[in-house]
Amino acid sequence: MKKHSIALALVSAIVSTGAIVSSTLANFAVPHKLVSRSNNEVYVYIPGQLSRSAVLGFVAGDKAITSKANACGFLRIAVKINRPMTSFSIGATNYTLATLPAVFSPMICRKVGTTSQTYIPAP
Amino acid sequence: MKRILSALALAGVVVSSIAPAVLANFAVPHKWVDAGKTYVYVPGQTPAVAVTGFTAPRAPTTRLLTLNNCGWGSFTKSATSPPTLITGANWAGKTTGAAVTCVKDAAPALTYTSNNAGAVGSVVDDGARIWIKGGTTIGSATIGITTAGTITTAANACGFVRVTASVSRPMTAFQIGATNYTLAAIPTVTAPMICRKVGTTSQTYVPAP
Repeated sequence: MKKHSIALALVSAIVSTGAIVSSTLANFAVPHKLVSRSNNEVYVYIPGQLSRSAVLGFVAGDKAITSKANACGFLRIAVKINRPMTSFSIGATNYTLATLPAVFSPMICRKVGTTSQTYIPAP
Repeated sequence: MKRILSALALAGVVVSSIAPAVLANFAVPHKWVDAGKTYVYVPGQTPAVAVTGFTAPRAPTTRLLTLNNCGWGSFTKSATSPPTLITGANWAGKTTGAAVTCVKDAAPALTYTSNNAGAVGSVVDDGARIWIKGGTTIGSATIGITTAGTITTAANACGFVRVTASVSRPMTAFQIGATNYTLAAIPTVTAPMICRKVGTTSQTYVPAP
């Protein structure tokens, strides 16, 4: 319940700052956030990584994030109470959740033939 | 770090320069070839509704017609995919008219008389059946039938239809309403568009450029 409330609070905070913009192609090529319509959870997506490798120098708060990118080369991090992702850095670049571009539908990874392919919502 | 920035920069370049042209292919009828099969995608349709006027001629099928005592044979005319060509008969001279009859003449005669005295090869369309004069008496005749091949498949929840090209329906040329397409000329994509449910709505997804 508490988790759900915090997620909702995050949602309204993001909405109230006006950070939610239309899902453009460019947004999917950079770190961005998604507010899930199915469960109101917030996710941060980090694209452009080496598939099945951890993101170098990925730190949120004072904790290193060691999760590996998927076969398509992107990483999805769920925003949680103990990992609010309010601000994070990748190498020397700093990001804040509030200023990340927002998308309405997530990018997905799907196998096509023998290769993994990133899919994005049709514009 | 450099590698990450390079990757992001590259992604940005790709998205901004190549993407529009590649993505445009998904907005029009296009094809995808996978494992020896060719699929034709028709986007921009109303979900759960068949595409109006979507036809693709089927490959000709051979049919053995049984002829009656007057030499006439017939087959049911499909309401959705009527024949567009019949080989082995005078298709160009096809006429419309009443159903062909064949009645035995009064005894002691052993002959039969038809209400249609057309020559061998004649084709008559009575609206419900296609009649072919394959000979002068009882027997059989082989004809080749090509049909309009109306595609009645409904679009999916995302509003696109996928048709698999096959031997019987090669999709070499097809028509949607008044617009003609050829398989050779429609754009090719390297990965297919897909339909996925996001929350409560269905969303079309395309491969990231």
